Amino acid sequence: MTPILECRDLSKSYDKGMRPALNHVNLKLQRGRIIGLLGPNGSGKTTLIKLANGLLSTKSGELLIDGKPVGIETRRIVSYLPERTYLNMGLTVMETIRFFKDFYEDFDEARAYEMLKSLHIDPGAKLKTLSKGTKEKVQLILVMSRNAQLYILDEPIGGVDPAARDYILNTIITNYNENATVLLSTHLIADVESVLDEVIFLRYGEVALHAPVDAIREENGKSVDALFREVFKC
Amino acid sequence: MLRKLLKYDLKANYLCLLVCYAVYMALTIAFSLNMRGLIRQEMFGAADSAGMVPESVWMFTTISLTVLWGGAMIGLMILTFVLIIRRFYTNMVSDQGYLSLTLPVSTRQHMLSKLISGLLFELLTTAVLVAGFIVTGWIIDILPILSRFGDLFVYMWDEITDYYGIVYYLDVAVNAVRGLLMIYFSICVGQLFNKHKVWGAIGTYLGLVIVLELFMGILALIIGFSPSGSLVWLASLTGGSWGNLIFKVVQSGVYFFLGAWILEKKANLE
Repeated sequence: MTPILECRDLSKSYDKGMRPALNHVNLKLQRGRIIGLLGPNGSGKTTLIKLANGLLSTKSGELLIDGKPVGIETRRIVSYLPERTYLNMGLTVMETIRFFKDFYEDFDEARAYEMLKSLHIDPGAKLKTLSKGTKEKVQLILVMSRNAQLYILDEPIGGVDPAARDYILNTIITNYNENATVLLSTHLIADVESVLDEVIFLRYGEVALHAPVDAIREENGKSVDALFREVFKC
Repeated sequence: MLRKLLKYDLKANYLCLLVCYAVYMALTIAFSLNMRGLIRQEMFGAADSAGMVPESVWMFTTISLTVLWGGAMIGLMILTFVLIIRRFYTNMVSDQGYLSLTLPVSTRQHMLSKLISGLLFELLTTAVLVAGFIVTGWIIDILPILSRFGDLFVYMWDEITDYYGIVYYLDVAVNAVRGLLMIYFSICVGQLFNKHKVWGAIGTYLGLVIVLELFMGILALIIGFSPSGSLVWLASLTGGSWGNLIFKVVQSGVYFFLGAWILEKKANLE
């Protein structure tokens, strides 16, 4: 089966003379997995995610989604949550839902309203009147309300309170179909470890480790969080 | 998808512009009523001194309303332009670009939608400004005088178009399209810079203007435009020839396709 995401010798630099943000990365992500993309600041996580969404161009190598280069076809099957607020703040939550419904055929409006209700978010509220954490929840709801094949979530729990993190992680687990893959980047490893099937450790733009979470626990006798701290010890 | 994009592009600015149009029309009416009162007092004041308003009051209201009305007129033109540019910048290459550029829509459709909505807003603002003049003429009761200006404008237009025919009409339309696409293209180039993207866009725009002016200047010298002393000469400088028109159409095409290509293949969002 074609991997949902594949990097072939992928490199990316921002400035000449600087260390590349990604350096000859080779990766294959299979379907139906929840994968943690982990690494310290500047390790290339966000660069890889942006490349997968066509927000940056590659320097060399290839990045394929479902066997195709990044483009309109791949955008139909990828649901992306960036690390920043990317919605039009002049719209209400309801209008934003309508926007997603207009552009994404796989958007499930009922699911979005259900999640809004669970998190006590007023659909009539203007986005600019919401707190930063609530805006992030709205974005996550929109992204997870799609029936996508690949969910790419960049720091989905970074800006929300610990109480909401459990709900969000639960939302991620329960709202993706079994054949879909979730690629999740975060620093809060201990919070997400329980939901991960695989992890990718990125260091200086290179893949330091790509392994199933169970194998890590069995082979190293420690949690992913503990291994991360060991590998990336300053 | 283009229809949907257009819907959101129009929605993004229409409310702000409608409010501005309403303010402009209110100021137009206030200015016109003031002028009508002033003219009537100047003409008939001596015969009706009981209802005379002190001259200092007229002076104050006339100066204030003239400044406000003139300011509103210029402000409306600038604001329309700023809103069109801001929509493209914020929606395509700043934070909202994370959403726009990940929609299952081609960047050519994005460019086309921004172009159509921008042209519609420019057209609407022009119509509102013209309507303001007509309302002023009607209230002050100087429509016959305004119509003389209109006749002069029509005469000039006829002079030019009689000579050049349809090419001049096309030139006006192509100029509007090219102007917007040149700005959009500059923004697309500006986002290629890792830092100072706005300055990159401004620099690109100014660079294009300078290069094009130089190119056209040199071309004019080579071909040898001959000022004949008529309005036709003026037209030859601003447009009005098929060669000039084709050059502008080609430019517009380059801005459009290259801009869309940059967004598609060379996106560089912060």
